[in-house]
This record gives sequence, C-alpha cells and structure tokens, in this order.
Amino acid sequence: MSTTYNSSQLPTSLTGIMQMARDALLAQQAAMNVLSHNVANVDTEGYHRQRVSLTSRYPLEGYGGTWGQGVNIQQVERSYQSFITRQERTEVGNLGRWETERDMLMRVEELVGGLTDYGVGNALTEFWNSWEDLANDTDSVTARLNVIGRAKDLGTSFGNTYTDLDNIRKEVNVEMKSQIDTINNYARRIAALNQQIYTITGRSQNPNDLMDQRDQLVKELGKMANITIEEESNGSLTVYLGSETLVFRNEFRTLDWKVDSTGSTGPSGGNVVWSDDQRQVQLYSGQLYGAQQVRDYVTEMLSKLDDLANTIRDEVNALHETGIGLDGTTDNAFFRTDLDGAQSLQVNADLLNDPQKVAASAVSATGDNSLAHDIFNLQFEEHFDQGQSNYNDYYQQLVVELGNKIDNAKTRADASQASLEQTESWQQQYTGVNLDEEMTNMVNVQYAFTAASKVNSAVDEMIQTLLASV
Amino acid sequence: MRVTNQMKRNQLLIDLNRLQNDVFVSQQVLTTGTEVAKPSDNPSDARRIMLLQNSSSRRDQYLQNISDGVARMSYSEIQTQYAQDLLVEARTIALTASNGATTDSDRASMAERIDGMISELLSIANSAHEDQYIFGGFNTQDPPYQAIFDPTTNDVIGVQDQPQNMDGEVYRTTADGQQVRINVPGKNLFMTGTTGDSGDMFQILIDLRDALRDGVDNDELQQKQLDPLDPSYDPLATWSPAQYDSLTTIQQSLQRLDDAAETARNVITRIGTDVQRLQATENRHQDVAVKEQEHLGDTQGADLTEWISKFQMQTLALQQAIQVGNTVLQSSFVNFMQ
Repeated sequence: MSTTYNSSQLPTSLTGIMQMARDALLAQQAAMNVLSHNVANVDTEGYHRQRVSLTSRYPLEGYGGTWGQGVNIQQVERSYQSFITRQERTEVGNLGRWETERDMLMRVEELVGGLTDYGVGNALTEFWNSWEDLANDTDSVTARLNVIGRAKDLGTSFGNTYTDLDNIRKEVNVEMKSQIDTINNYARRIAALNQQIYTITGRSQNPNDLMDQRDQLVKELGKMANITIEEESNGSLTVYLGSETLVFRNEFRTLDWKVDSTGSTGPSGGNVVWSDDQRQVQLYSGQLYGAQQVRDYVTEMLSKLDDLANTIRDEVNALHETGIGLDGTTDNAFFRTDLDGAQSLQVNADLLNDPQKVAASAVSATGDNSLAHDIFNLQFEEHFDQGQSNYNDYYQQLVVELGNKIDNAKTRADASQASLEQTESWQQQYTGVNLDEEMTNMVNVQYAFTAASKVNSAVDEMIQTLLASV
Repeated sequence: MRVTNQMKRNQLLIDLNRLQNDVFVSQQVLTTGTEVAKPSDNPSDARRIMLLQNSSSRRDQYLQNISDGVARMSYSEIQTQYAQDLLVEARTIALTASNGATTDSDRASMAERIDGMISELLSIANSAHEDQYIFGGFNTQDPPYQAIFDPTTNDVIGVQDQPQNMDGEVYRTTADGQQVRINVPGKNLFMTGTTGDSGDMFQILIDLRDALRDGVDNDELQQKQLDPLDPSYDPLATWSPAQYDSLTTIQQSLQRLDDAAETARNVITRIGTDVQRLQATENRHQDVAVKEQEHLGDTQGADLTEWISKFQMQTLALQQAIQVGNTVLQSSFVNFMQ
C-alpha cells in the first residue's frame, strides 16, 4: 500500500532546515570564538581552557519517529579541577614560606661569613692568640698595642655583624608591612570578583574568565599566607586566613601592622594583626610566615651575639682587673663596662690612652705572663649552654645552626617546588591549552561551518527550484 | 596524558633552570677550588671546617710560642754553659793554688783572672735575650744582679740580686692546657741559697780571689825556715792564721766550685731535656698541622677530577636540553596548516 505525505506531516519545513543550518553556523562561530580565546591565552598564567558545550536540540515527534532540530549552544565550560587547585594552593604556600626563608637567610649567611677570614669567628681567634703574643713578650708595649688592636677588631666584627643583622631585621619588617598591603589588596580584589561572579552566575551565565582571575589571585594570596577556601554554590569563595575569615562574598577584612618594638620584632618592628580587633594573625605558611620566622631567628642570633660579647667583656675584665700593667697599675677593666651588647664591645679608653695599662702579669713584675696565659685560656671555659659550650663552640653553633636552617629551607623549598611543578603539570593536563588540539578543533569547526553553509545554500537552491516551478 | 603548550614550555624552563643551576654550582666550585664555601653548602662539614680552622690558628700560635721558648732556652743554655766553663776554669786555678806551691805573682795573676771571671759571671747572669733579662725570674726589665764594690779598691766584694720575684717561672703555652717553663730563674743557678751563702756562685769566686790575694807562698816559708843566710831567717817561721785560712778557703772552694758546676750542669741538662720536649711537641704540631691541612682540604676543597667530569656532563646535558627544547617548542601542527 502506497503512502502519501503532506508537509504538515514532516517535522521541519525547508525554512526550518535553513534555521537549523543557521544555528549550526552560529554554534561553530561560537566554537571558533572560544577556540580563538583559548589560542590567545595559550601562555596566560592561571588560564583554564574553555569549551563550547553543544547539545542537539530536543527532537520533534513526527512521521516515522523523532526528528532532530539541529544544534544548541548549552554553555561555555571551563576546565577546572577543584582538588588539584586545592593541592596547588597548599604547595604554593609551602613554597612561599621556604623560598622566603631560604633567600633571606642566605643574605644573613653572607653577612655572618662563618668560613671566611673575616667575621666574628676569626676575630675571636685572633683576639685570644694576641694574649699569647703578649705572654711571649710581656714587657713589650708593641705586644700590648697588638692586643688592643685585636680587641678593637673583635669589637668592630661584633658591631658590624650586629648592625648588618639588625638592618636585615628592619628590612624584613618593611617587607612584612609591604606583604600586608598586598594581602589586603588581594582580599579586596577577591571580594570584588566574588560580587561580579555572583551577579553573572545569578543570570545563569558562566563568568569563566573572572573565575580564572579570582583563582589566580587566590593562588597568589596562598603564596603569601596560610589560607583555606570554601566554595559556595552561588559562585562565591570564602577565604580563611588561619581559622579567621578574610573574605566572605563581597566583604573582606584587612590586616594591619601593630608596632611593637619589644620582644622579637626589634626596633621599629611590629606584628601582623587583624585591623578590626587588633588580634594577632596566626600564621604558619606562606611568604609572610617565612619572613616572620626569619625575623624572629635573626633576633635570636642578635641576642646570642649580645650574650657572647657581654660574656667576653665580663670574663676578660674580671681577670684583667686582677692583673698588673707595665706601668704598675692594677684594677683596670680591659673593656668598657658602661656599655652593653655586641654593638658596644669597646676597649677601655684608659688603656687606649696608655697601652702600658694592659696587664699581662699577676704580680708586680714585668716578666710574669701568667695573667696573659689565663686570659688566653678563657677561650676553653664553658660559659654557655649550661656550661656545655665555650666561646668558640657557641659562635660555631650559631653559624652551623644558620647553615642548617638554610640547608633545611633549601631542601624544603626544592621539595615544595618539585611538588608544585608536578601539581601544576597535573593541573595543566586538565586545564591547559594545547595548540595542536586547538588547531585540530579549528579545522573541524571550519569544516563544520562550511558544511552548515553548504546546507544553507542547498536548501536555498531547493527553494529556488520550487519557486521556479510555480 | 594530555600535554599542553605551557607544560612543554614550563618543563623546558624547569629543566634548563635546574641544569644551569648545576652548571653554576660546578663553575663556582671549579673557579674557587672550594666545595664548602658557606656553612649552608654542608653544615656538618662547615662545623668540622671551623673546628679545623680554629685548631689550626691555635696550633700556629703554639708553634710560635714554642719557637720563642726554644730560642730563649737555647740562649739560656749557652749562657749557663759559659758560666759552667768559668767555674771549671776557676776550679783549675783553685786546684793549682791549693797546694801552696805558687808564688805571690802567680797568685796575684790568678786572683786577677778570678776577678775577671766575677765580672764575666755577672755579665752572664745579667744577659738578656731580645731585651729581656733571662735569669731574673720575673725581673726582665732591670738587671737582676748588681755588683757591690769596695769603695777603696773598687773590687767587687759581693753581688746583690733583686729583692723580689727572682724565682719567678715563665711559661709558654705549647698545646691546649699544656705549659712548659722556658726560663732559668737565677735563684736556681747563681744563688741557690741566699746572697753570700754557699750557694752564691759569685761569692765562691770572690772568696777564691780574696784567698788567692791573701794566700801563702811555700817557697818563701821554706826559705825563712831553711836559709840562715837569709835576712828573714826564722827556723820557727810558720804561716799566720790568716794565711792558713786562705789556703783552707782555696781548698774548700774546690768543693764549692764542684757543687756550683754541678748545679750549672743540672740546669743545662734540664734545659736540654725541656728543649727536646718542646721540639718533640713542635714536631707533633707540625705533623698534626699537615694532617689538619689535608683534612681541611678533603673537607672543604673540591675533588677537581670529579668536578671537571661533572661539569662536562652538565654542560653537555644543558646543550642537549637547549637543542631538544628548541625542537619541541617549534614542532607544531600550525606549521603544516595550509
């Protein structure tokens, strides 16, 4: 039995087909647009590749079954892996901390110069040895001038090292203040982006590029401090610094620098606090934490230098005051007693004016060198670490501890760097742009566009044919 | 695995950076010859290096102390040897004079020689090394011994030492916690007792000189006793008590001079032993210093053979990485699109 059809039984008219072809053209144009966007951002840091998500239109019921209605642009998707992003944020925080510690401590190491011929260690050895030179030549003014010269060198070494370290501490404080400004700026910008993303998401659109920008800011922020993130379904990110909220939707809190010259901060130092309640910010990761760690460690070093210099002053003075100078005088302090600390280890002015007052003898006779021996032997006395370390040990421990800290920071920074590289590579696998892939897609899109165009012109010819028959 | 352009670029940059860093480290090591230039290069080695540097510096000081000590002791030894030689010579004179067979002129000449020896011994006792008196104990700036002169004859009639610190012992530090005495206090050599007593070397010579001057002439005595034609003939002539005392003094001085020479010998022996001990310590320090330098070289210095081969491999790897990177980054589908 033969069947006859009329146009009402077909689901789509010729113009409907042209409509489908037009939609196909628009879909491919959109695909080309996104593809072009991907190519343009092939090297953009933090860019997540995008794809036009196309779906076939809901089919129509018709004769013989369902009939396709062409293509529909569903959305522009962003390749995003939240797990990898979280991982990346953790690694970036660790890297920020360890790189900061490594770089700043390496500067400290250059100034301390533990293995070089300059610096406190060498000056200390020369100072002790000068007393033996005096013991070899007890009635010599030249040997006394040598002792004074070595003592001045020691004082200068202490002073220079202390000043250099103190300058680093000040620079770190300045750096921390600058980092606070940067964090505040990031928090403000993330809050602003939250607002924009919330608004666009509310319109059922995908603010992909804004999300990329926000992710990049969050990553930068994560490099500076220990942050955690919570994502809301409306597209907003809540950023926590420690356990405190830094950004919530379009609101943000700021950090402040609270001047506190006591304790570990040093002169003109301070601490990182929340601007609103002035409570100290709990840091345990990121560049800001690294800087804080270095500053506190440098303060510890300065305190140890003070301790070392003061002990040398007191112990040498205690012995020297019992001795008798070449001029027969006694009870002369070798170092100034009115000054305190590593910056102020200075030879008593009376001895500078009259070197004969430098004592080498315990009795009133120039040939006795027992006091010079005793002062030389002071270096073996264990005055530090509860009687466990002598002067040289104490200083060497200071230097070795610094070396260990740098070594540890280097190792941890390298490990964090390797881990971050791996995570970033992993992230790139999912979200990065591959130009070959884009070019292949481009050829596809180009052909699809051409094909849709052909359909359009074919239908047009069909319509022309029909019209010509009229 | 999906490989993106950024992955390729980042990986290349990471690899290049790592290789360049390796090459840079090798470059630093090879140009300085030092593997541990900073404590952070190897903290445990840095600790060892600082200990070695410190020990080496102290060892240099000890070697200097020993050198100075040996010089002083050698000088003291020479001077003591001179003193001993004087004592031996004085004994020979005393021995000659002790049998009473010498003439007045012989004794006068002997007395003059002994008088000269007193000055020589005083000069020895006041000898100085590098402007420091060596036998004065702690008295190194002022002469430790002063002669007392007879105002009439201008003869030395005694020698006075410094009132204090003549027994001062001067030490040199020769190793950690180790000191060696490097002086001979005059109290141990020239005046082992108090001034003028039996241990006073000067007094022995002064007594001998005076005894020689006051002493007897046997020939003269015999002539008095035996020659009736001699105007001074006196068959009952004998030595006066004073003359007997002089002879006794001369004879006693033999023992005293023996004792003094024995003292000088003992001092010389002790100096010799101490110098040997110092030289043994010096040799030990020098041996240890060589080993320390080797250890320091091993710890701080670079094994050039190892580092040069490492450097060559690193530069080769770097060149390869650059070449590979160049190829990888330039290979793209874009190049083949019409």
